[in-house]
Amino acid sequence: MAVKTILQPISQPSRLQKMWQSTSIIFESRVATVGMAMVLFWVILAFLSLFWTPYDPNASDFLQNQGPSVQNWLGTDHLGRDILSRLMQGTQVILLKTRLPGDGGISIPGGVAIWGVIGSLSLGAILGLNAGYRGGWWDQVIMQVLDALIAFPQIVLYLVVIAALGQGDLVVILAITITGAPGVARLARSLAMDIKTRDYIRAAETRGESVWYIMFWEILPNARGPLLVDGMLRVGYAIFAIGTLGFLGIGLPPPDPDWGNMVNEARRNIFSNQLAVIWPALAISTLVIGLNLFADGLREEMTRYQK
Amino acid sequence: MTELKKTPPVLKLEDVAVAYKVRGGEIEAVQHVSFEINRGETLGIVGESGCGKSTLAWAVLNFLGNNGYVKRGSIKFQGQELVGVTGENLRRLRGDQIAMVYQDPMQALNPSMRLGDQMSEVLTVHRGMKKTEAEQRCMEMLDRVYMPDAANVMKRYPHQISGGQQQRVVIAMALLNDPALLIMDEPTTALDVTVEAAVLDLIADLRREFDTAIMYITHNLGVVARVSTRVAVMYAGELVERATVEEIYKNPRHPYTQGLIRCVPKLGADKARSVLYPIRGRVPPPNNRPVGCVFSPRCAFIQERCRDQRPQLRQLPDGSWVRCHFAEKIDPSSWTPYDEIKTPENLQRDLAGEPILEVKDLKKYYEVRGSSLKDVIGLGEKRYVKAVENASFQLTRGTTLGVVGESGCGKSTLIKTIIGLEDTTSGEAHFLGFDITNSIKDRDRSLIQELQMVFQNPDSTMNPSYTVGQQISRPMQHFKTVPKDQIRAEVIKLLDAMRLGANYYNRLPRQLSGGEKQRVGIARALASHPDLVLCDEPVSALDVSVQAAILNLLLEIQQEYNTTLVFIAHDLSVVRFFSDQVAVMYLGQVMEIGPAEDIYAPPYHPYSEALLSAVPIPDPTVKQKYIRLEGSVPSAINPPDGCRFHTRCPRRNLLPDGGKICETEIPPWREISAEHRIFCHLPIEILRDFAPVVTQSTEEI
Amino acid sequence: MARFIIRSIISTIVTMFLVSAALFFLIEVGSGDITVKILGVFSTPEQRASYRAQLGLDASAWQRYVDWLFGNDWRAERKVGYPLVTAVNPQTGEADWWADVDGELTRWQLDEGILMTLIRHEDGSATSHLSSGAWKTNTAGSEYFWGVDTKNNAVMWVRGEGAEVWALTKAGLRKEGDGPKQYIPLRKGLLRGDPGISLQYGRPVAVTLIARIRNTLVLAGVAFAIIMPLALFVGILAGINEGKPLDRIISITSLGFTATPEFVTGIFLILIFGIWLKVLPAVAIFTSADAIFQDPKLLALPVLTLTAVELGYVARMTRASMVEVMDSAYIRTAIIKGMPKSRVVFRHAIRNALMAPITIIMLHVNWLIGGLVVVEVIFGYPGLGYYIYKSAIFGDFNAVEAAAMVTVAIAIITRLLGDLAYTLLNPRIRYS
Repeated sequence: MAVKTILQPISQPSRLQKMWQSTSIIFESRVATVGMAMVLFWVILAFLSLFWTPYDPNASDFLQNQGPSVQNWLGTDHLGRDILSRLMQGTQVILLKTRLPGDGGISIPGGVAIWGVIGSLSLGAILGLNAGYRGGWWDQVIMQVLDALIAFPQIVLYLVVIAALGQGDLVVILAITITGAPGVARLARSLAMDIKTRDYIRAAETRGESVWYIMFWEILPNARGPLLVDGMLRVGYAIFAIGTLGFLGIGLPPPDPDWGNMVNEARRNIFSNQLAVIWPALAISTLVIGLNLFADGLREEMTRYQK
Repeated sequence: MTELKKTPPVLKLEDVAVAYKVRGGEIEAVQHVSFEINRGETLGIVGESGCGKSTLAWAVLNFLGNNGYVKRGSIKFQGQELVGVTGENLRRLRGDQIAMVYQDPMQALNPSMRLGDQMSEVLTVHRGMKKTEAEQRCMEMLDRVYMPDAANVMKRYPHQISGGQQQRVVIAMALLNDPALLIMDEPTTALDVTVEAAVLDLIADLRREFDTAIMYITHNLGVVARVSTRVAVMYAGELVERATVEEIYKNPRHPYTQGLIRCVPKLGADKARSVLYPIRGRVPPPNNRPVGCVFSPRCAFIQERCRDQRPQLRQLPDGSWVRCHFAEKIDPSSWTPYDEIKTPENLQRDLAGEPILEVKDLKKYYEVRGSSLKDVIGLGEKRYVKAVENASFQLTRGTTLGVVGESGCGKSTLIKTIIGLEDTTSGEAHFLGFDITNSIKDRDRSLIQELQMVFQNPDSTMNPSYTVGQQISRPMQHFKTVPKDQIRAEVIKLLDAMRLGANYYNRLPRQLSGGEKQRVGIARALASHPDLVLCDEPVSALDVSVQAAILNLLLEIQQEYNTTLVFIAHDLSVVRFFSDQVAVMYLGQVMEIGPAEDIYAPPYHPYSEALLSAVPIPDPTVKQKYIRLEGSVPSAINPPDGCRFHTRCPRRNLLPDGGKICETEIPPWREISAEHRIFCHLPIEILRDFAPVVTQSTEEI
Repeated sequence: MARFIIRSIISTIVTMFLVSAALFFLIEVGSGDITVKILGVFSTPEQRASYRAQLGLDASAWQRYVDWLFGNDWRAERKVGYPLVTAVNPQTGEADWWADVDGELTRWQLDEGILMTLIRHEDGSATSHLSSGAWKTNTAGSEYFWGVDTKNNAVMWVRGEGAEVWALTKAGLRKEGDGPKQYIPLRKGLLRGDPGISLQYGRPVAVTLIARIRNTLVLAGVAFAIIMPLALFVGILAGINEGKPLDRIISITSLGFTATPEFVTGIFLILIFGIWLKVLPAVAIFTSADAIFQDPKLLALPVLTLTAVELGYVARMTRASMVEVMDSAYIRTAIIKGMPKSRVVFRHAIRNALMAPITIIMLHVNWLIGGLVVVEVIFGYPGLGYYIYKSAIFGDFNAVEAAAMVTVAIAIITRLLGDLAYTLLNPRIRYS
């Protein structure tokens, strides 16, 4: 697989043009455009929720288990809370903020899913580049450890990590990092093994460049495209996993509403109020499908570009 | 044979245009192509990459993919129109009446099917033959393509036989149904020169025997000269000239054909006495062809009319066809090189000067692991690939050492060892008086700086993520040869020297053509002002016209900086042209080493002799001695004892006892002169008696 | 090929060891004090310490890892001085530990400071005798005795210094005198099929686990048998019709299913089939571990949920592989040879196209197990996944470790099988 980075502009112009160059490829693909629209919808809602939600997401202000009305567009849940407000607020922990442990209630920007993926991309890239470029014992040892990690069914690994470390945003980030890193590492390794056969790597070696320079300045920039697309897919997986953990009751802790947990709570009242289950379920699906479509379309377009 | 025109031609193309639908429009890859091929005739189609040769082949088979189609014209096969034939009718023609052989046999064969099954299905499907009968036929056919041990090959998988054998299987498969038309698309390009020679012989034999019409596509002028009866030259999607093979080489009419022939070094030509003239400019992309003659922007004889009027393919009085307004008026001898090309001067080098690189008994072995239980746990006996065995040579400052040999002969390992990408198993190597048997990690930075490399593949020589300027300036930063604030100026100076210019500074690799990338690669190697540059097949992936330009550039640089070069190539003409000293390698062993002109004239090493007789020469009038090596190159894990070449040597029976000594004893170095040595048991007197391989003189036209 | 297989097997063994160590240390060292969960938050530090000693948690982590993996009866045997054996207790059906004293199965008990010997009879009952002359003297001069107690521990009593211990009984914690100074809770170890006692239920993990594994295998097996042929068929169908409407429909549908979490799919299926259509029970109640064998209809929704999620993934992999193969030079050769389309697909393409998905599918089995956890939780299905979930929530590490090791073993073994299948399909590896 030739790894040409498509994120490079045709000529060497301003940053603005550069960015347009790299984004315009999205609109070449209908799949990617649809995916991006779905993702953007949620991102915009998330930002909106920072300033405004229809009601207080945690206040039981209304009648319980009501269907949609002018007052509550999506209805209310079993405690009489506004579902729309809860859905909007729920995007924040996934996409926009990570709550640090302690009583201060301090948050850092970047959601749990985002940090988790950044973690697995960094860890995976470092391991994969070392395994792929150095080969030999490095490769054997790193791959053996990764194999052991991959052998864990992901949910089991999450359960184990949470059983050991308890609940919390940072624990979920750690769990996503650990479960995601082996996959990223395998990808990075195969890319590195491909790229290291290129002559420009030989050229760097004959210049006596250091191993780290070659890995991070010669190989990594050319592996960037596939790794970023993979990262995008992984944000989807991470949201998927956060939802699942929430559903199992071991996900992100309160007070922020958690989509998975919303599904879990609502399903106990499934006979009386089906919509309360459907809304958060739809939210998770659309966001994950959107990310998948986006990444898929982008990847397809990139390989077409290479041909 | 060429004038048999009583029956309708097997294939007749009339004004064919092939178009591909792409985003936002259509590209006409091929335009206005007309030719015919008769029984027992081979039409060679030559041209550089991207000129539409392969598209033509796919068009005949109606296999243009989802987005390609024949836009205009007609393709008639034995009088029957092929354009528009689809479905079952098309399927019946393919593989039965029309067969095809492709460039890379390994890719063309199904990796998970036995060769016998892949072959016999052609018969069972098209002829409804019984399986056993079909297999019998297949074995007979394998015998006819001189495949040793046919019955055994039938049971094997593609990866279990060598590349040359794979190509024989593909050819045999194509011939099974005795097709009327055989299309061959670069069938020998992926093969080594001696294997190529054998396959070309086979193709010539089969044409005579089967009386098939062959459409032979290649970029190699030498190959065309050897196999074709007639030649069609393609340029930028158009057929520009069509004539008999003798006429094309003796009397090329189209300026492009003339240019092509001037680009290729003749076997025996050298840099001191002859010059290569590249064609200026580059092939226009299909969506941006000139309005008038497609070749006009690059033509030395361009007139006003050429710019706005497209010439037609027309027949000249002597029978050849040419697409040029002024074909009769152009006199090739009046052609003068445009001023970009300096005539090299004072290129004769003194081989006895100060040595810069001395290598003595250099060995490089690689450990290989076996597959038995013992080997896996590490208890098995260690085995080695003997990649380089006892290489010894000296290199004088400012000269060029050419290293030739077929794939797997150890030439790449040799330079990897010198540059330090591999460490040395044993032996001595000194560069500028410093020991360089260690790997690059243990070398001093100032030593590394003096030893740089130019690579083969233009598409991978540059890092796609960085601009030209960034890549050339990196060595200057790394070795700190140039102060930071002067780097940019220095890079631009180098770019100018590469004839690229300052406006290339900010370009990215994918905005460059193959030749331009190669120039940047050379600039990067020169950025640290090295004393010795190792060139690993720097021109073999380039089109001939570009190749000539790069060779000229390297010569100029060598003159200007007094750089020493080691030049690896498999093309003997290029090596002869370019080098002062040549080493011939076989299976890790240097077989012969000496001044370039001595290697190409007797006395020869028997292997050098065989190589020379295998080279396709772009001149059909030249006579070459017929020597073909049998069998394939033995494995380097267990190379033959004694002389490594003894298993295939055609000359060993000149020794008493049929050359028993070659099997057991390592040959001595026969000193022909102070610089010229041959590694052979044959005494010098016998070696001297060999007749020259190439008999007709190949002076400049 | 031999080399390849040997390497795979060695790598598998190494992986299993790495996994077991990682799992053990992460859980047992990383997690907090389990006795809080068992004894409740109102227990005193003294009570917890006593109970921790009874669980053998006061030993070093390495010691416990070795015990967990290889058992500790061989270690206790050296202390007790007799071979230690297990005998089935007819009342509970579980195995009890006994010391084999010259052919007689023996345990000991300290009663009011007096050491009693219990001899087991054929029917499982035991008679108690006064034990005399059993005490040994150590260098410090105090008398001690190593024996097997009635709670399956190898213990050390010190004469006259009966410790006060807190024993957990059905009625709660009870303070007892005459306690031992040191405990080794006897176990055979994971490698010998004994992962220990469940901290949550007090029964051997192995007994519960076997029924759960069986149930899960039924669920996964049925789902696998539906998914594989269907997904491969659909994927190949999409692959040979690349770019056509059929391919689009298959691709988008399978993407939709893959990107929807299991719990969402499961709940939608419950809504559709259980609440709106009312063809299947919306809430399945598994009255016993064997319920699925009595009422196979209970399997329908769990299987359907798994199928929906996994089908899409495998179909997409197969499609991608098929597209790549159909684009290859040797398929071009086959077409140019004039082979009919069906022959091109079946003889030339499928075998090569299946090579890549088979390894990936086998790698994907642990994804399937992940899905199983969720599906079992949604439907309350008494399988391995539900068991892990419940145990993890409680912090029952003996159970979590054992169940997790089972899932890992399943994942690794299927991967090994995938590698072997790949080897068999690919002559390039087979003949090298």
